[in-house]
Amino acid sequence: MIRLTGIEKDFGPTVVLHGVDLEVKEGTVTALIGPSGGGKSTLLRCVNLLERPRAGLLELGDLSVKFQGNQPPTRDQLHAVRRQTGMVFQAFHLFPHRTALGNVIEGLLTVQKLPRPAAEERGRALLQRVGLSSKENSYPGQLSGGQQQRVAIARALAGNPKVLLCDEPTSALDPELAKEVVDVLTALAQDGVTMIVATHDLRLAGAAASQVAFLDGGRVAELGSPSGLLGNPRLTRTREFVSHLKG
Amino acid sequence: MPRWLEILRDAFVPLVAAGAAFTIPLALLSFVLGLALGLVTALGRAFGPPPMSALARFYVWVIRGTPLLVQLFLIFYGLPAVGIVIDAFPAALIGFSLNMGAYTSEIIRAAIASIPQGQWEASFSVGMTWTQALGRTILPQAARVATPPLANSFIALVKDTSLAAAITVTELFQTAQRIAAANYEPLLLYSEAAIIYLAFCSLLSAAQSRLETRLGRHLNPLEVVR
Repeated sequence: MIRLTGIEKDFGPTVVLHGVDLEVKEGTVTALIGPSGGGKSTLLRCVNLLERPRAGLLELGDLSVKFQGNQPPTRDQLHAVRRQTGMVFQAFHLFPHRTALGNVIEGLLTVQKLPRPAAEERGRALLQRVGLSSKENSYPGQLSGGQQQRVAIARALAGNPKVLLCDEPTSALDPELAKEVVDVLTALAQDGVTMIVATHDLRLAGAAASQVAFLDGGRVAELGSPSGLLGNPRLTRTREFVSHLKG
Repeated sequence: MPRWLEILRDAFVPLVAAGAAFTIPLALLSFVLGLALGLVTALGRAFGPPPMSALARFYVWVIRGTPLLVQLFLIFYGLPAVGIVIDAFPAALIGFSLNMGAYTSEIIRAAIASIPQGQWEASFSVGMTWTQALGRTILPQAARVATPPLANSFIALVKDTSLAAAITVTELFQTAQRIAAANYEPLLLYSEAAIIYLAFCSLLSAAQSRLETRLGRHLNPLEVVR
């Protein structure tokens, strides 16, 4: 269970999150949709503490971190949260100086301190899972965008996180390459990987998600099932936004 | 054999011996120490608390703003006045290392800053600590960016070691001066010294190319379509 309670975040005078509550059950996928600037990315980055909320409670399984005032999380909390989350970025952010396999096993070697042969074995299994067994020795610069993002997904899964955080994983890809990534994420969802996915891609939200949250103005404006929220939204604002996504 | 060739031949062994005994060790040691000092200074300036950052800035400001020859004179001829007596070679080593540290710190700082923020975030997202992110993700990529300007500094240093002649280090250039003073052939001797410096710097340039290829093996060659 991942639970966010009253998460608030500001960047100086700009308040980006006004107390977000969200609950994600183990083995389910939550899609975050909403306009740019609505707080989707910031919310995801608060879950793995790339951003520090100014208030609220973050619960990841047994781990809970409370944010109050300007008190930073302890080192132990920070690393515990990071070890239990994986993140996929819009712009991939693969390590350019490491091969596909090297990217996937980097955390296993440095964070989990696995011996190299064990890490490589796990890394190869993950590359196979995202359909890239034949590319283990390729550098990111030699891969297509879709392949890079699939390597990034394998890298994010390597530490066996409680939740996979995907920040617009298909937004930098053309529709064909995006489909590769949607297919991989959908397959992972079917395997029971817990995910929170910020996306503008209705295929991804529709196919993989078990709940969809519409984030607008730093709040969860509407929460529902994919068919309900995307098919028959309650709020006019949601309806407008979803109709834009459908194009 | 013509006389000029004999002069060059007779001077060759002492010149190369002085280079091997003083010039090359001085350049190599100063570069290694200076690089370490430069890394610490760059990290202190970029990431340290305000006092450390200010100290780093002050050090770079003083070293870059004063002539290297003056620094060497201060260390070797000046410090004995306050009871600190340092032999010529270690004095030169200290001077050159301090100098290298200041210049290379700026190169390293710029190279670290050139690595996109996303690389830090990706490192943190797989669970790395700040130190691991720096050591495994940022510095290996920064090293490639820094190699050409660092090679520049190293080559400049090799030539600057000739200034150590002024504080009595019997390196290559001082040896040439001595021989020229005895045989009155400054044109020949200084030409020969210049050629030996040139040969050594050429070796370094070749080493730089190989290092760049090695550090950049994940990249296409640095070529731009015209």
